[in-house]
Amino acid sequence: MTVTMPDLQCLAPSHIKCFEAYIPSKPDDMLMEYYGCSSLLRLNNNENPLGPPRESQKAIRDFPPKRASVYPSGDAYHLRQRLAERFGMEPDQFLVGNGANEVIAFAIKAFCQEGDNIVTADKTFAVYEWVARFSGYEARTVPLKDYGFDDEAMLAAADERTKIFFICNPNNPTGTYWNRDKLLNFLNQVGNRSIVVVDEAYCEFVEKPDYPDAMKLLSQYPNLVTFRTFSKMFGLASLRIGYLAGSLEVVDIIRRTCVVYSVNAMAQVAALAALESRDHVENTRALVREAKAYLDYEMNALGLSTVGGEGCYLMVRLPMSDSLAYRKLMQQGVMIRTMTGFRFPNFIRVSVGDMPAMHTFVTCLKNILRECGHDI
Amino acid sequence: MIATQVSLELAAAPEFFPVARAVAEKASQAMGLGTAEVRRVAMATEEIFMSLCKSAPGKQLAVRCLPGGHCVTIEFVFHDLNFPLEYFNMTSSVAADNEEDLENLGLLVASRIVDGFSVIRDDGSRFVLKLVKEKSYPQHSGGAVTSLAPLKDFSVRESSPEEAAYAATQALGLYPAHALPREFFYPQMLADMLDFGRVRAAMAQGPAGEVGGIIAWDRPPDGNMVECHGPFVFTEDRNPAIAEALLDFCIGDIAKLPIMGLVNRRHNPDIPVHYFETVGSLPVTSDDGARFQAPAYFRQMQEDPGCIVWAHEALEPFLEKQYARLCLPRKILRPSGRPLAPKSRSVLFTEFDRRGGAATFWPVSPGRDIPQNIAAHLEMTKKERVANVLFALDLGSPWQADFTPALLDADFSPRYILPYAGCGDMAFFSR
Repeated sequence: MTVTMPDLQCLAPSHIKCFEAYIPSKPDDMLMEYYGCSSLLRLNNNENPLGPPRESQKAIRDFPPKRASVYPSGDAYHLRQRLAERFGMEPDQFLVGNGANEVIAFAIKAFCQEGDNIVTADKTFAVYEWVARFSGYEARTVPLKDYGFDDEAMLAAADERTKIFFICNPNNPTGTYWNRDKLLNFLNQVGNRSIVVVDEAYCEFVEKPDYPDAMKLLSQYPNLVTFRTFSKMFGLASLRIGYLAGSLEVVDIIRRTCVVYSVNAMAQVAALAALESRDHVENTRALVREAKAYLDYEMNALGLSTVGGEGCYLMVRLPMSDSLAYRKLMQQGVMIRTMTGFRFPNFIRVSVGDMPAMHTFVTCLKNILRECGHDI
Repeated sequence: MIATQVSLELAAAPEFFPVARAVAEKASQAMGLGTAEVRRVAMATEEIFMSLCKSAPGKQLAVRCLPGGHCVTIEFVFHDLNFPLEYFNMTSSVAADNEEDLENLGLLVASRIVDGFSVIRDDGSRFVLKLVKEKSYPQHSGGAVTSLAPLKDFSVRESSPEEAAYAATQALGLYPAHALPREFFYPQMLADMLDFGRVRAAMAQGPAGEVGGIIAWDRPPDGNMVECHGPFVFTEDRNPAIAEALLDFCIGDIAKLPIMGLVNRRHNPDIPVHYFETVGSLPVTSDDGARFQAPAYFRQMQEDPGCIVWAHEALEPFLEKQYARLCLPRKILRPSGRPLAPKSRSVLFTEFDRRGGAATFWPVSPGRDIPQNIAAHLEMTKKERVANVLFALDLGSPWQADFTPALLDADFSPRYILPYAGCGDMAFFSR
C-alpha cells in the first residue's frame, strides 16, 4: 500500500507555513570547493581563536570513547552543582541546554501561550524572534537607539500580553551594553509583570567596570533570567552547551519544558573543566584587546566606519554590498558574516581572531576594495 | 480584504461542472472582481474543467480560489500527464478540420480570457495550473508635478495604501515611464496591492508631512526574489540620503525573510547603485523608438552557499564569464539530453508588459517543436508590434537547457543572470 502525501496546507499551522527554515552554511569542504579556495579562515561565528581552555582540552582527550554508548546525565547534574558553587546559588537555579539556543526555546515555551508576545530589539541575535514566531507568538522588535537597546521604546512596545523581554547584553552584533544603572532602572520599571531575560553570551569579554553581572541581581529580581554559553569565551561551540539561571520558582517553571538528555556527556565534562581554568579568560581578553584595536585602526585608516563596543567582534561598514564582499572574501579564503540579515545593509561583522588572521583579513579586504575601484 | 481562500475537491466529471463553475464565480465575486471579470473567470474555469473531464475522467481534482487584492487566482491541482498544455501557448490556433484541436478549443479560450497563467509541474504527474484575473482600474490621467524644496529633515516609515497611491502620482509626474512599475499608472491598483500585502511601500516624510519620496517592493507569496521599484525622490536636490534611507527600510523589511535577492530593473538616477551589483543590461526600445540600455541591479540578501546550474554547452562560455565576474560559486552541469517523446509539444508562457512594449517568454514544458514554437512566438510579437522580446531560462531546471540552441539560432543573446531567481539562477535573453 502506498500512502499519498498528506495535505500539508491543512496539517501545518499557519505560523509554521509562513515561516521559512534557517539554512545554515554548507560545511567548509563544500564551501572551499565552490569558492575555489584552498583554506578557509572562519571569522564569521565569533569563535574563540584560542580554542577551549587547556583543562577542557584535556577533558576531551581523556573522554573514554566507550562512554559514547552511555546516556549522559539527563540534567547535567555535576555541572549544575559546580555552577551553583561558583555563583553561590542552588543547583536547581540552573538549567543546562544544548547551546544557549535551546534554553531560549525553553523559556519561550514555558511562559508564552496563544496571543502572547515577546519584546526585543530589531537588530540583535535573531533566535529570540525566530523561536517566538515559529512557536506562534508575536515578536515585537524595537529599533535600536544609537546602536543600543532602547529601554524606553521596549517598555512602550509591551502590553499585558508581553511575557518576556529579551536583552542581549552586550548586544550582538553592535557590542553596546546596558550599564548597571540602566539595567536596574529597566528591571524596576518592568516590576514583576514579565520575565526579563538578559543574554550574557559575551559577558566574559567585557572589561568595563559599570557592566552589570546579571547573575548577581537574581536574588533581588526573581523575574530575571540570565543566559550564558560555553560556545564563545570557553571555545566549546561545536559541543553545544549553554545554560540559564534564575530564581528557583522561575526555573522550576522553565524546567517543565526542558528536554532532558539533550546535552551530551563530552560537552558536560568539557564545560565542567572549563570552569576550572585559571588564565583562559585573561589570555583571550588580551588577544581580543590587541587584535580588535588593530582591526579598528586599520578599518579607520581605510576610511571605513566601525561599530563595536564590547565582545569579540567588530562591525565594519563597506562602500559596497556586504553579500558581494562576502563572496569576494570567500574566494580568498576568508569567511565573515554579512549583516543584511541583521538589518544592517552593507555592514559586515568580523570575529576578532589572532593577529595573523587579522592581517590576512585586512589584506584581503584591501584587495577587494581595490578591485571595486575604491581609493585606499 | 479578508485573505480567505475557497477550496473545492471533486472528481473531474461533467456532473460536477456546475459546482466548479459556481464556486469560482461566487468566490471571485466575493473577492472583489467586477461583473465582467467574474464572467470571464467562470468561463475559464468551465473550459479547463471540461478539458480535465475529457483528459482525466473521474480523477480527483482540487479547485482553489485565492484572493490577491488586485486580482483573483484560480488554481487547478490535478494529476494528468495527458493534459494538453500546448493549448496555452499564446500562438496556438485551432484548425476547423482537426477534431483534437476543436476538442481543446476551450483551453485556448481560457488562456486568452485571463490576465496570466502559470503551470507548475512537480516531479510526478501533479500539475498546479494557475489562472489570474485582475480587477479593472482607471489609469491615472497624469498632470504637472513640481519637485519639493529640499527637506531640512525627514523620516522614513511604512506607507499606507492611500499615501502610496498619492506618492505614485507624484512619481508619474517626475519620472519617465520606463522607470515606473505598471501599478504606479493605476494608483488604485497599487493601493489594493498594498492593502492585501502583495506589495509594500515606504515613504520619506518631511517635518510638515511632505512626501519626499517613495520606494515600493513586491512581496510575492513564494519565490526567492523581491523586486523593488525606486527609490524615487521628490525633492529638488534629489537628496541621496533620502534614497538610501528608503532603500535601507526596504532591505530591513525583507532582511529576515528567506529571500535570496533584491532586484531593480527600472533604472532611475536616484537608485543608490553601490547597494547593488549590476548583473547586466538589456537593450530596450521605447515607445518613441529611442534605444537605450536598461541595467539590472541585484543585491544578494543571503550569504551565497553555492549551487549547481544546468546549462547547454552553447551557454557555458557566457555563464563562466558572468559567474567569474560576479564571483558567484557555481558548478555548471550539462543535462543528460534524454530524448523527448516524438509527439511532445513545447509550451511557453508569455508575460506581456504592454506599457513597456515588452513580452517575456517563460518555458512551461519541453517538446520536440522548440524551434518552431519560438519562431511562432516571435512572429506573434512581431504582429503585435512588441519591440522588446525577452526569454527567461531557469538554470535550476535541466529540461530548460533544451531551449538554448533554438534561442541562439533565433538571434537571442544572453544578457544577464539573476542568482536564485527561479528554481536556480535565471538567465535572461533578448534579441
